[in-house]
Amino acid sequence: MDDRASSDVLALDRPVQAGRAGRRDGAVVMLLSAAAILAAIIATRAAFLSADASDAWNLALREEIRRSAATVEDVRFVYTVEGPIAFRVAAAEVRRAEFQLAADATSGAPRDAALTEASIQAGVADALRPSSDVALDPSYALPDGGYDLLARLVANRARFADLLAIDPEPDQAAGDAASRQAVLMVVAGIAAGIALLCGALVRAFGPWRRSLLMTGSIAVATGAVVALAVEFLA
Amino acid sequence: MSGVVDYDALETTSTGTRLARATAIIIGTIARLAALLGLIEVKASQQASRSELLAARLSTAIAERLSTSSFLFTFGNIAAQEALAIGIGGTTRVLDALQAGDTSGVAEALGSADAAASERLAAIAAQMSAVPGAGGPLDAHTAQVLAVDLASIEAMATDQRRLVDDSALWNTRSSRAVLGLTLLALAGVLIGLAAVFGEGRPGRIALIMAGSATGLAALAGAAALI
Repeated sequence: MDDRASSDVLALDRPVQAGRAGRRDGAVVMLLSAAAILAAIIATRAAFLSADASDAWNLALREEIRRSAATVEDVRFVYTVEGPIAFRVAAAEVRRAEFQLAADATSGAPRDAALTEASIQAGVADALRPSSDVALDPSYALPDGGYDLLARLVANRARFADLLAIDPEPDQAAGDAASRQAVLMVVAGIAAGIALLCGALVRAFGPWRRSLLMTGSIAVATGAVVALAVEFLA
Repeated sequence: MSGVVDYDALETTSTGTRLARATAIIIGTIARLAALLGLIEVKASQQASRSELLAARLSTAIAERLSTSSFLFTFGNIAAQEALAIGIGGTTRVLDALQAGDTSGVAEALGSADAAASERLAAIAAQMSAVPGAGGPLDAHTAQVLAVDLASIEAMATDQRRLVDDSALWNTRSSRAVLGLTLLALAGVLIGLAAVFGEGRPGRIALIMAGSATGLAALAGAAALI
């Protein structure tokens, strides 16, 4: 066969070779495209899930601060505003009662002095009582004197049921769940990375082409299945 | 010898040139490393954020417990002091009368009444400032906050410091992963340049630099795991 003849033969084979090469390239392009699309979807979904986790954690922090502020304010009001006045009323009532007992047990000057003191303490109690919602409400009176400030705190807290119902733990747990899902989603993305590796190696390692394409395809399918499982089951 | 089949060229085409192989290996490695570094970065940034916010929550909870318990204890202490002061007043009144030789019995009657009132008021002060127990009418959170003791505050503070340290550690890991991803992006650009330059010296240099950047990215990824 001379040079012209062999050249003609090669020229005739060229379209056939080009067609085979095109099909081979097509498979690689499809694998790389599928892997890239899968990676993009997974990355986007993981970003959304991460944002959801951060939002939930931030919400839990805000809830913690709201709950804390409400608790501190309620306790402060009862024990630094209402409590001291109620205790002074209680002190005046107790002293009045004790002076009255002393007056009953004595006579003459000691009795007169004790009755005077009892009257003074009764006046103090009567003067202070209108300033104290706790002392005015007989339901807070303790059997041995004084007032039930815990019952008052319970009543004050119950006035704002929405603040009482604040619980940051469900939001914290939701954030943890979303974070776990985001990480698992990125784990699914590793399969897309394997597929991209196989696709990149196909053209340089021709003899292993079929194995690489097969491995890459399996990786893409596995990644997609894992991503779907994470989305709907995790 | 135009027109003759070049078997060397066909061999090269079917198995790929060294440059093409190296390029393919680096591209594939970049893809794998990017996926792994992405995983590390997501995990690290999530953990850093979680630890930081949990530490902030604990700070709030500690401040809440210190404030509320101090309101309760301060009220209890002041009430007890007031009760004690009444008793001291009554006793002083009796002692003064005895020293002055007062035999009218007025001071004793009033002093005894004050002493009795003091004892009752001390008990009342204790009852009005009692720490709520679990399972009472008060909501569980407020009861828990008021019943806090120093040991639990110290435990919470220790946890809070640990979370802050954790956050810093995870932030460092996240930064290292981001450094690795940045190096991978650089490697990707250099691989593109190598493909444009082809088989020549500039192409090989770009490829070597891309490989080096990929290797450094792998080191950054390994450092992010420490």
